[in-house]
Amino acid sequence: MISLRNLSVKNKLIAIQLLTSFVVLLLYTLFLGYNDVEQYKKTVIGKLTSVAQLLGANSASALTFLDDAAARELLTSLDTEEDIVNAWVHNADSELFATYSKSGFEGYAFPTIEVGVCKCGDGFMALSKTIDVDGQTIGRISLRLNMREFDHVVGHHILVALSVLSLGMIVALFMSLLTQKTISVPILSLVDTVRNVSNSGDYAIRARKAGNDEIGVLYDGFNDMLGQVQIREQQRDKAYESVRQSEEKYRTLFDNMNDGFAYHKIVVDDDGRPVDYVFLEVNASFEKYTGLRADDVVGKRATEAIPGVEKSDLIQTYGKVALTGENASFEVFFEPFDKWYSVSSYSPERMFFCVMFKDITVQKHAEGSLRESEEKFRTLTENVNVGIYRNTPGPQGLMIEVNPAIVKMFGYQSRDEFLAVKVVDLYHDPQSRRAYEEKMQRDGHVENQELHLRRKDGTTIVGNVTAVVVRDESGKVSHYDGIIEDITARKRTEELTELQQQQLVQADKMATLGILVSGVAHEINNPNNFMLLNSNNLADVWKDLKPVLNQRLESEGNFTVAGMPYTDIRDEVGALIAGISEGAERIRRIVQSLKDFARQDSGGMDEPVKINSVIESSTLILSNLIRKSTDNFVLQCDESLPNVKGNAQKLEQVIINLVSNACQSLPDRSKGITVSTSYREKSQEVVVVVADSGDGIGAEDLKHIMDPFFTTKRDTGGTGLGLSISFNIIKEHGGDLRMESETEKGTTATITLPVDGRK
Amino acid sequence: MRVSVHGARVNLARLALTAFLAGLLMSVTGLAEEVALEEKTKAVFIYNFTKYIEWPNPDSSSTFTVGVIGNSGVLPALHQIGKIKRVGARTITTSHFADTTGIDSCEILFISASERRRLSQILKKTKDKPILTVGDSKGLAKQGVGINFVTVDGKIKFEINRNALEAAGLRASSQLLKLAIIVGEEGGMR
Repeated sequence: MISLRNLSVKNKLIAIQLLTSFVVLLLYTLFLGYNDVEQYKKTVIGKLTSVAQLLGANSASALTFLDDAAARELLTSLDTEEDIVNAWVHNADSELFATYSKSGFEGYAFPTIEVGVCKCGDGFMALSKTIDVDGQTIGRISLRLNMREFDHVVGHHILVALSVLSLGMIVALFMSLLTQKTISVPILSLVDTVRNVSNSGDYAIRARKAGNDEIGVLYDGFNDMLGQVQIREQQRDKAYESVRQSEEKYRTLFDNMNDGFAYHKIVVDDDGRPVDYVFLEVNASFEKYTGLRADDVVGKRATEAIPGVEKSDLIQTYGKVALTGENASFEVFFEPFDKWYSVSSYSPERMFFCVMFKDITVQKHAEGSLRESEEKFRTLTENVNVGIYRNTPGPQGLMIEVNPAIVKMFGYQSRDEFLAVKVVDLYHDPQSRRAYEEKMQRDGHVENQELHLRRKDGTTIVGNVTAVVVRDESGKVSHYDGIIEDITARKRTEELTELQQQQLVQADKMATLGILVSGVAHEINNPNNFMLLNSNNLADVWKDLKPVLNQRLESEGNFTVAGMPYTDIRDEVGALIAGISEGAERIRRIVQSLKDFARQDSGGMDEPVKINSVIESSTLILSNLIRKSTDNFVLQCDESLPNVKGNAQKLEQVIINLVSNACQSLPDRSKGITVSTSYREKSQEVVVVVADSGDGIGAEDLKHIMDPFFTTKRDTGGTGLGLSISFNIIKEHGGDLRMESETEKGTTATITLPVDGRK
Repeated sequence: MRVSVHGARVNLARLALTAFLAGLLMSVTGLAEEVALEEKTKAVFIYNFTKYIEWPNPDSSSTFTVGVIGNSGVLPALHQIGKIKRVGARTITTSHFADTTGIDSCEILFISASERRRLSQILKKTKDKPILTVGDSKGLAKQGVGINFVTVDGKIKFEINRNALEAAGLRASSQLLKLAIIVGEEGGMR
């Protein structure tokens, strides 16, 4: 069969149309023919059936009355039916009753056929019908039809079909010759254009399209394609030119480049393992760095050109590059040349590789010594017990670089953990960070600055910081470098020592004061005793003298005594003497109190103490201060207080301290002080409250008032020890001292003391 | 040649007849062997006449009476047929008459050959009545009997007197007439 593919479009179109027409016409004629033949067959069968029915009905009576002659005569009527050539009438017992044959068809055997069924064959058709009378089958008639006419009809049909087919095909051929042009002409024209372009190589040629159907689109597509090809052509020429230029450029670069460059091919053994490589090309720098001449190495194996190369890993390394295409960059000490090289290697194609390298021997040596010194320095900073840091400036601040000592100093687990902490968070007081920051910015450095800093666990360390500002080229502060020493322990020891010393001084002072006071008391006591005694005597004297002097007045009239008329002083003398007596008595009491206060017996802590007495004597000692300070001093003593166990002198010291503090806090005399005592039955405690309505103490100061040496009255001679000592004394007694205060409202000091001494 | 054809035809007819009757009467039990083939054929023909003749009052009675006057072998054969066949929906009753009394109650009256003497008397009684008279002697049709059995070339044929049938109000079908020998009362074959 001829392949359709190689036919021209024109012929293809004709062939397709012809084939289509042929198939359609063939199907049509076949259908018509079949239909006609079937129709004809049906007609013939219909005719045959009606003839059989007619003859059957007419022969029924003959069958009934056994008149075979009548039946035969009836059948002769078939003489007019040209095609019915045989007829048979059988009775109910299928016995032949009558028969008929046309001349030329005699002796034809009765075809054994079923009743009512048509049988065709041998150019004949046979049909059999029953003969019924009153619903009873009394016989059967069979007819045989010559199909000669049928064949004639079929033949006629075939002839007509062939004529229609032939005529149709001729018309189709004519039509297709006419119509194919609308498609084939533009395509052939396009083909001509294509040939033209391919022969001339001129991509500027364009096809001229005729319409906008698919072929038109094909034209457009073809023209677009030509346009693109033309553009590509131009681009290719341009690219070719640029490649040529760049190749020239790279050749120059290759020859003049600073790095050594060599192009190699790897040599592998039978198993594909790299064993050697061959120099294909080297540049001038290669010669410079290796000391080898290009002429001596190009074309040679590495093992030949550089004896000893096989001892290094180079062949394996390069082999991997050449075989896998993975790049390799490394620094290598190359023994055969006793030099360090920095090498980059890549593979432009399998089995080949390029090497670019630099002689870095000098840098290597320099690096070596630098590393050594760096190492020394690093060890130093890491091992020293001083924190060394570098941090960023600003209100927050971040550590950039720290040594292990500082991390440990602040109680952090790792360097990274520490680096995550903001510098400001290392301060207890953000204010002090600000101050530090200001100082750094202002002075450019700090020196031995003591800072209260916070460890990770929240505890305080005192750090001694020395730091400098480091500026970048533009003069902007880039960071701070500093060292920090943890002086917490030292600081604490110092403070403790100072405290102890002060306490020592105080104790010494008190002891001295005690001795002084007892001495003074003793010295005052003697003369005072004279005054006491003598004033009494003097009173007695005056008592006896007065009536005598009164007598003299009566008898002699008024007279002068010590320059004053007697009548003026007569009533005063008694009071004068009483005043002396009273003053002396007061001196005696004060001296007694002083002696009590100064008595330096550390004393038994288990003497029974009447608190009310303690308070009384204390207020007595302070009576002058109290009088000077307020007009509203109230003493509320619970007379039913039980005794407490302890040391009266020490407790007196406490009360004196508290009351004198209260006095000092009063801004004017209108403000008051209340000292009260009471007993708490439940807890078996004696409570002493010293309350004033003075200036009060600020909340911040209140926290520290029990601290030794904390004072707000340093300038007026306060030691900061009073409350501290008082607190210790009360603690010694197993009791408690609490201070409550509110600015402008006053302060309340509450002492609780157990009645049974120490708990 | 002609003779042999004729002979063959007779033999064929006889053979057919024998088989036909055997088929028809096979179911009739106790059929007397002595009943002659000819009389049985005649009885069957008489029954078959009912299919080709129309009586004027087909539904006047629920029975169809076939009477036989005189003695004839046809009677038992008719009786046998009457047991198994119907005329339309009507059952067949077979009656025997010794004389003419009551013969006018039949639809078909078979006149035995022995009753030829009483023909005028019989016809007088049946005149103008819807009774098909069937004779069994030569020339009875010409004398006014409706249908008369004759033997032609050894075969049982029948004559029809169309005037007699018309007078009785009976209509014979063309199928029947086609097979019959038509006779007139004035005589002369068709």
